[in-house]
Amino acid sequence: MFYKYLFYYQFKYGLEKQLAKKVEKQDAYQQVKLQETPEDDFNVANLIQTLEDQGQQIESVKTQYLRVHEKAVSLLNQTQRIVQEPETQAERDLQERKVAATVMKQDIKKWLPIVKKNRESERLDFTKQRNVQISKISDTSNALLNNHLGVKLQNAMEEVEKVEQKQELNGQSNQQKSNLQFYNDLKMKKISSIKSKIYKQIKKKKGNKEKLKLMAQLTPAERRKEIEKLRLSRAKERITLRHSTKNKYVFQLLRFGGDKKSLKQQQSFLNNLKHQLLAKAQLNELEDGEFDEENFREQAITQLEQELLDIERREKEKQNNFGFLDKQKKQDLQQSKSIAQKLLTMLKSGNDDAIQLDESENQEQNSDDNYEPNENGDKDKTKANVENNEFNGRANFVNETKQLTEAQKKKIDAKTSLSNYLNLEPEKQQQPNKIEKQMTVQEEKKQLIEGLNIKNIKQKYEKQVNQKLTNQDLKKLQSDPDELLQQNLANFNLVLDEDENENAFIDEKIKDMEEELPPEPANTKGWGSWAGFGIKERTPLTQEQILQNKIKKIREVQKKRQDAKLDNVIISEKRDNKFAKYLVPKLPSEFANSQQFDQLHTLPLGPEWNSLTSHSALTQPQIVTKAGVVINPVKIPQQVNKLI
Amino acid sequence: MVKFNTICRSGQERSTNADITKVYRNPNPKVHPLAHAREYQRALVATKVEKIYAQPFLGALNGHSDGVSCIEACRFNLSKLVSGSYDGEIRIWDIPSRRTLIQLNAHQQMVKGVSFSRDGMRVVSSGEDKTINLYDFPQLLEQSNNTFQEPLMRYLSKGTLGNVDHNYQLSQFATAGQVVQVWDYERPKPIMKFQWGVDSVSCVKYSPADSNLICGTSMDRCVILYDVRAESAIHKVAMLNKSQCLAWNPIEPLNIVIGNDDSNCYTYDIRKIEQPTMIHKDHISAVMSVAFSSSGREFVSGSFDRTIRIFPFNKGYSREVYHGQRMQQVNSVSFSADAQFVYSGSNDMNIRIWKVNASQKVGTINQREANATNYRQALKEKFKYNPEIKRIAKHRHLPKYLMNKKKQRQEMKESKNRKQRNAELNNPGQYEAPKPEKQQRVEQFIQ
Repeated sequence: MFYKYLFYYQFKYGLEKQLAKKVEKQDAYQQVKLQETPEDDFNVANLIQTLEDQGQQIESVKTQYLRVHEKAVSLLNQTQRIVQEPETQAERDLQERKVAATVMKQDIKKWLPIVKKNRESERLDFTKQRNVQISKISDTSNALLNNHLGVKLQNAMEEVEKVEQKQELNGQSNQQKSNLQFYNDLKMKKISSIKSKIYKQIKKKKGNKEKLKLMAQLTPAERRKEIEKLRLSRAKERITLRHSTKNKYVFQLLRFGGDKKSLKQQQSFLNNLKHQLLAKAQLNELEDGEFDEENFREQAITQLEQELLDIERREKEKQNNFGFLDKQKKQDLQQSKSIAQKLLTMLKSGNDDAIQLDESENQEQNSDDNYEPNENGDKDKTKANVENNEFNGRANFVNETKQLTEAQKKKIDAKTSLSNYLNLEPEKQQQPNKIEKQMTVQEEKKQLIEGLNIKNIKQKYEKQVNQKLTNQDLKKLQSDPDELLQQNLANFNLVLDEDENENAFIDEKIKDMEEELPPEPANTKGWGSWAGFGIKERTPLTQEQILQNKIKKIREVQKKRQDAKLDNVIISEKRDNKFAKYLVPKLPSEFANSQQFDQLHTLPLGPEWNSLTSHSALTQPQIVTKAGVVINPVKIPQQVNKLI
Repeated sequence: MVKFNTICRSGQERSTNADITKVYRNPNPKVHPLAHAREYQRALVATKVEKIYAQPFLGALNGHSDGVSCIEACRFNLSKLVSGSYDGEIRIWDIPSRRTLIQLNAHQQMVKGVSFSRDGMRVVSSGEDKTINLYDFPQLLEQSNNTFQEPLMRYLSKGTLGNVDHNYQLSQFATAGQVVQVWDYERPKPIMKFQWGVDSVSCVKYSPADSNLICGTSMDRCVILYDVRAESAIHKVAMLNKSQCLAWNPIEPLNIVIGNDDSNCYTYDIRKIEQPTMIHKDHISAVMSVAFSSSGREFVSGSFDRTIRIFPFNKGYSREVYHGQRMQQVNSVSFSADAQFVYSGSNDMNIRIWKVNASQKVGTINQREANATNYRQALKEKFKYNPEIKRIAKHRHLPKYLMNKKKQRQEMKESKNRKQRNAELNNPGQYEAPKPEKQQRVEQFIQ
């Protein structure tokens, strides 16, 4: 019994002794450590020493051990009541290990601030032999607060911290602003990327309404200025537009001098005159009455004189800013002036032969005007051609059947000469088959773009333009042509557009589709030309078949395209890959979002784009080591060590 | 014809320094639309140039007549290196001249470990013949011709010995073996013994920052932590394969890296040793030795697959791989104290010296050169996510046997994953979600 008690006693106090031993050892080690560790050149070190001289005691590892010891003893006391027998060796070892683990974990915490600081710091410089990052004073001790100097220092440090925090806050507000800006940009981008036609139409209508309101408030002179501005900007826009190839548009501008509408009016007016002449001649012919030449001449002369006056007025008008446009305008005006003057002189002199000659001259000029470099020809034109042929034929028939008086002959001569004016060149008539063939292809092409909006709108305005204008309308136009322009401002370009531009656009679209077609397999030699029994001869495809096949393929391509149903638009779906090499295909896992990544990577580092100091600061390596400089293991600063 | 080279000057010649007209540059990025493209091109060139000038191998120290089993660079003197070989020979080298300073027939059998004291004055070695020799370095230098010098102290161990590691601060050293022993210079017997479990410990290392903590790897697949103050082990963790070697991070003394036989390295946080914080993969065979750079930002590992790899301390894959045609299995690696060079001792009786940064110039570097290299490095860092630059920077030439093995491993891994996936698909609800790899590698945590 006594033996058992002794054993228990030994066990109970043995553990206590062990712990006491440990504490002693720790103390001894601490002293050794203090002696060994060399002094760091830390400014606060002296301060802390003085503080310690004043007799301030700081918690140490010893207290930790004592605490653990107390706990262990209390645990033992608890178990004492239940367990009468001593624990096994394994159990005791486990207890010991647990104690050691808690102590180790406590002890190792001292490295955490240093490790944290090292990991967070942008640069680790090992060349200066000061690899230990000194933590803040507030972290190390509260004991400083008891000292005046310490308090002062503490306050100073806090103020510095406050300033730093303020700076951080400022940075945050700046960031907020930039974020807002960014959000706004995104929004605007989204709006601009809306593709809905209806949305854009509504937007456009709104804009137009507002513009009209503004226009209504202006005085006529100002209004004219505004319109001039609009016209200019529109002209500029037209030149830069993709589908109106620069060459053709500029070519057209050169031809019509920009102010094409008025020229068209003049031409239509002249045409009108001629038609009136023709109609009167016909009437006279049918009525068999005498042709009142003098009356007719007088009327024509007065109208021509009016026209001349108008031309002069137009010449005096302000010029556009485009030099080439002005030149062209002048030329065109001079041309029409010369025509009108010739007509006048002819009418005044009363020489009918001269009229004939003159008309033929005009015809040549006009045939030059009808620029049509392609042999394909226009649909409308060919139609006109056919009609004219019929007209001509009827005239001939009349010539043959009727025996005519001299006066009648004169009239008919005048008529035929005018009708000749409307004829096309004989060269085109000689090759009708060729034109027809090309026509079919052209029609096919046109069918590709089904339900063109342009076409419908255009037909409307063509009707308006081709309407026979009464004298009142003409007078109105002459008095204020800008008024009408203002009315039809939105459709100004449509009126300007001729078939050619439209065709060019369609051609371009088809060309775009053709490029998308898969490449045809190259003909290898001998491939497909087999010989032997039972082999049927294949007839090679005709040009037409090849064309039709191609058209089929294009139709298939067209279905897949984004702009299949958008007639006035070519959407290029080709992606430009040239810039791809500068981009990263996937967001690296280190970054939360692409904005973060971009922000870090938009700043150039080179000396060309930075000042020398910032360049060197930006390009400093994260870890600086130097050959020959020994890097020591991390060490807790002495003053911190003392406090622990 | 005679060629003339002329220097053109403007008509106004400056007479004083004040005449210099400052050129102001507009930093607005809109004015420099090509900055990004130009920097990209520079980064591309920098990566290519780095590859071209990569010459990591500096030289070999030959003299051992058997495979080199262990090496350690001096922590105080940059030019000293100690190595032990399988025939019991210890050599101390002078690295700049690449010659042996001292040659010692120290042990009857293989040298298991060598270690320098922190001040470089003492050298300790442990052998398979159960002896530990403590040498005085100046004394050794005095009688450098004598290969049979008597050590300052000879300690006899009862059990077999593993490696030896000198304490960083005290005059103590620890040995691995059947029992982990802590020795003092003055005591013939170990001052402390740690035994936990049955199998022997293959490698022990002192914490460089904390002289009380020792970590060891044992043959029963465990990683054990000891506290000298507590006179007991703290805890251990059992893994799937045994580990041969370990190293402490000198700048972050919470972290250790161990080299495992499953060809991976594992980073452990000693506060939470239940599972590794990171797995470093790339080796093909068992990792024989690891050593931390004194900057604590990267570590080097030598492997049985005849390569050395340098890993960033926080990345899963290696930054660099070094191999040579004649280099055999690497038994031991060491970092120089200035974190500039790596030494490797291998079975082919040679010790090799490698540069840490393969393309870095050795020798004096003037400021302009340093600035230029810094700029290049910064550019590379900036564009490191770019696919083309990434590809070039990542590419390393590997010998055929390594490539084949790597491919084979990849195939094995893929087929295993496929099998697992198929099993899960065909038997829905029967399989639990797989554990993360870090947990899979750990068998048990023992307190």
